[in-house]
Amino acid sequence: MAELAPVTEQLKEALRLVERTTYGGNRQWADIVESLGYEGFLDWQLQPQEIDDGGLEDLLASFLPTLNMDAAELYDYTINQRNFGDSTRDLTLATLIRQIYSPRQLFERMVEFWTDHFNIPINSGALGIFKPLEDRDMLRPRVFGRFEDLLMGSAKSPAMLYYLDNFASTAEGPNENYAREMFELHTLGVDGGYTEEDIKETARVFTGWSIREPAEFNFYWQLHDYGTKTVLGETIQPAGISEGENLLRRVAAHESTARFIATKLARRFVADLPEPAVVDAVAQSFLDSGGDIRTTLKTLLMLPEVRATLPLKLKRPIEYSAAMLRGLEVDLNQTSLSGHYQSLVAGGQIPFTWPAPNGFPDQRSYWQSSNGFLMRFNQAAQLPGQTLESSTLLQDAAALGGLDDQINLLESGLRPQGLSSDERGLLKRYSRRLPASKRATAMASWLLGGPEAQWR
Amino acid sequence: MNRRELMKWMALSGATASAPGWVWAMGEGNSAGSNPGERLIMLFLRGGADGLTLVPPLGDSAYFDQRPTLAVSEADALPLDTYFGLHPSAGSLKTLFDAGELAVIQAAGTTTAERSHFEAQAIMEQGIDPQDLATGDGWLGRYLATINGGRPLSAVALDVAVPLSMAGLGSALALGEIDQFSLQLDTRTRLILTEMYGKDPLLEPTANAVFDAAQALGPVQSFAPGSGYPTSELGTALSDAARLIKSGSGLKAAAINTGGWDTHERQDDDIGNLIGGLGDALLAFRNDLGSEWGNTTVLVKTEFGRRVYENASAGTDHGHGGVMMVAGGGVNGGQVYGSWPGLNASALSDGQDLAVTTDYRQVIAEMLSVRFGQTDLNDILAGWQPQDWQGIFRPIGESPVLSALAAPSLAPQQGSGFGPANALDFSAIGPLPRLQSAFPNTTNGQQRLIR
Repeated sequence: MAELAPVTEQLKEALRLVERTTYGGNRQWADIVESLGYEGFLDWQLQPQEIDDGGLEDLLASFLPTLNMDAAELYDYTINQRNFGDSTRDLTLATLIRQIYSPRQLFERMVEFWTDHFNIPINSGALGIFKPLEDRDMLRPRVFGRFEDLLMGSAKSPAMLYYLDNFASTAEGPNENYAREMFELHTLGVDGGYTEEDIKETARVFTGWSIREPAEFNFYWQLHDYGTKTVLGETIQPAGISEGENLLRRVAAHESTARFIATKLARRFVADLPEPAVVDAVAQSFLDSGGDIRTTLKTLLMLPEVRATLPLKLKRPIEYSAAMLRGLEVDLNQTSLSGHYQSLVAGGQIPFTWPAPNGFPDQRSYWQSSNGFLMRFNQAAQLPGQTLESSTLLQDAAALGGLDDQINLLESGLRPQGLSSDERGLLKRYSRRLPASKRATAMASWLLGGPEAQWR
Repeated sequence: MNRRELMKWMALSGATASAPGWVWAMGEGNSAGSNPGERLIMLFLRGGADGLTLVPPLGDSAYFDQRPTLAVSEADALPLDTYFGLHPSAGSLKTLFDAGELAVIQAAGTTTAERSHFEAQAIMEQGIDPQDLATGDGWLGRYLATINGGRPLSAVALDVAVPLSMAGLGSALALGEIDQFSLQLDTRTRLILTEMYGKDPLLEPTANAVFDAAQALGPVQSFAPGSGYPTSELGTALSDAARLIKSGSGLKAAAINTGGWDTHERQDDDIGNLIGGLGDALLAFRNDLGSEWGNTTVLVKTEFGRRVYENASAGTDHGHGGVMMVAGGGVNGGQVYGSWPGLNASALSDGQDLAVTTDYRQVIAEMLSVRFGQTDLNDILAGWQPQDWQGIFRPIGESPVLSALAAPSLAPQQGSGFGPANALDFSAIGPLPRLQSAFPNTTNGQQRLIR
């Protein structure tokens, strides 16, 4: 096998886009982005409904029984037939498998982004029913749509109504929990210009927004506070459900919301501390497009300074472990999925378990811990050996005789942007005395456990 | 900005969160006047614990007016003195209180009202008030930096991550559960990783910390856990803290989080278990430690108390003043400290919440000064206005005679039918199908994927 052709700056930029917008690159995805180009790849990923999922959803439904149940079926199956916990298991596994195997990679990343943004831990039996329905019927269809629709969907989602207690908020005793978190975490941000009085008034606006069995939104006008309210400097005349709907529309279009969402998107995709100019441009795009998420996201990822930014994000545990499975091209099986799951238990990022309404942290200061890196080292050391039989990359590497050829092959899958000469030298030095049969897995472990694999 | 620039910026701004490993080798407890034998367990009740239910002010008639359904009745409460009681589930806390090893500070918290969980927690963890004094690192981290713990396990979080209160101390470790902290690398892999991480200054300290911690934890892991703890994350964390102490690992401070206190709705469904679980874990920890309890202090805090008047969902919204507790052999326990502002409308913070009469930093300051011999407190607690000590702690060297206390009587575990997600049972879904097809084909993969 010949030396790989040197990677051009243009291709490096496109490969960084793959790392930013997927759960990790591999040989195939390097080919795809090389052939489509930077913007072509982005446009392709921004239209997930046009991407053939390769039968993934059918396959998931074939072994995760609750995935496609409607509310009444799920209620009956869970409560009456006493299959407690199945729906949580199915949603969790479907989420993890989609992240690794779905060709709609940017879509899955945005599902995770909004899942964090509107975080709901499944910490009760009711949420075991409400949250899977919300994920499928509310959140996923709105991922690339208008932010206002997502916010409205969330406000009327039984999962959110239940989690933040609005379902029990009445004229006689408004519950402030949803109103507070809606401003602080979903829209304006904590310094976005609202007051404690705004929270109290907003809680009154949402009185009567509640749940009807088995899992539907219902506005109970009898429980609504029909007094006049003042929120963010505007008087709200009594009008029932439209008070809350209009308020959500107003807040969704607020400049503070644009800045807050822009900052969070830039933080997720580019850097913990996004540059002010980047946030400004993305916030402007949010406002100009009426909160269109697809447009806003494309603006962010097309900015010249973003394209030029080198990997500054420490991968979170899901990103790290999923990238390993994708890089190795591991077939889905009990070993790989259990290994992935156990590493996320150890790393503290099982989906739908973050206990507070703010979602899993998105900054290196949280994830760069000794506990987290213990998980990373163990997973990197063990996974290639455990998945040798089901990893196409490792099978291909094992078929090669020469050390240099093996290194080049691993480079093409695990470091498509190119190995440094230091890394190449270390691989050669440490693998020289290993038996030929163990070299490929050992070198894969080292590349996957090393520092370059921690960043995206 | 690229990573190199980021590192440069961090070095210039002093923002680097990494202390080199050699700091550990400098020897411990060398700052003047310090008390190297004392250890701190910092227990943070996340969510805003309701101090009015934990330690009800039975002598304040406004309490019963404001909490028509949620007030703890005088008949049910476990009396602490002529004015305050404990929630009926707090039998273990009562045992510690009666033994003089637990003190309560009522109406404590941040002087500036902050009713966002995340903002209030960040303020308390940074040891600041108001918020514009933000330091970005934590009060406990700053304190620990002054005493130079000297051993790999001197500052740990018994959690998946290091909390903000310990941030700024590069050597603080997140251990998760001690028995799970096991490094499974062969020598060759460990050596090459060490070389590779040597070229990434941002990650190198963490990689080295993993290697050092895994080695240092060996003796701790072979130390059998004590008995009598409730089966809970908090029970495991305190049991692990006891193993760190009893095995002589050199622990100076451990941070533990416990959640579930954000009781907006049907508060009575949950709060008894929360309070009982807290007390039982603390009492078990105390009994497990034996004589080591004499130089261990547990500081219990929460980001805020809850609204005085209950809401219509039989819960309570975010409030202001709350309750703090300290436990340990060096505590002047058996007393409720702080002055009680009262619950009459005119006395409330913003007309709705318990006022704060004891700045949370006042308790931390008294603890660090009296128990830990720390003299320079202003750098640790930014913006703190010193008041007279309340006498919550015994001076160093004056330790009580510890007598045997009954073990907590643990309530049987209630199975809700909904196991935690991390107990996911893979076998229930049977063998997984092959899924290689979902990967696009290597050659011309895009043509298969784009319609």
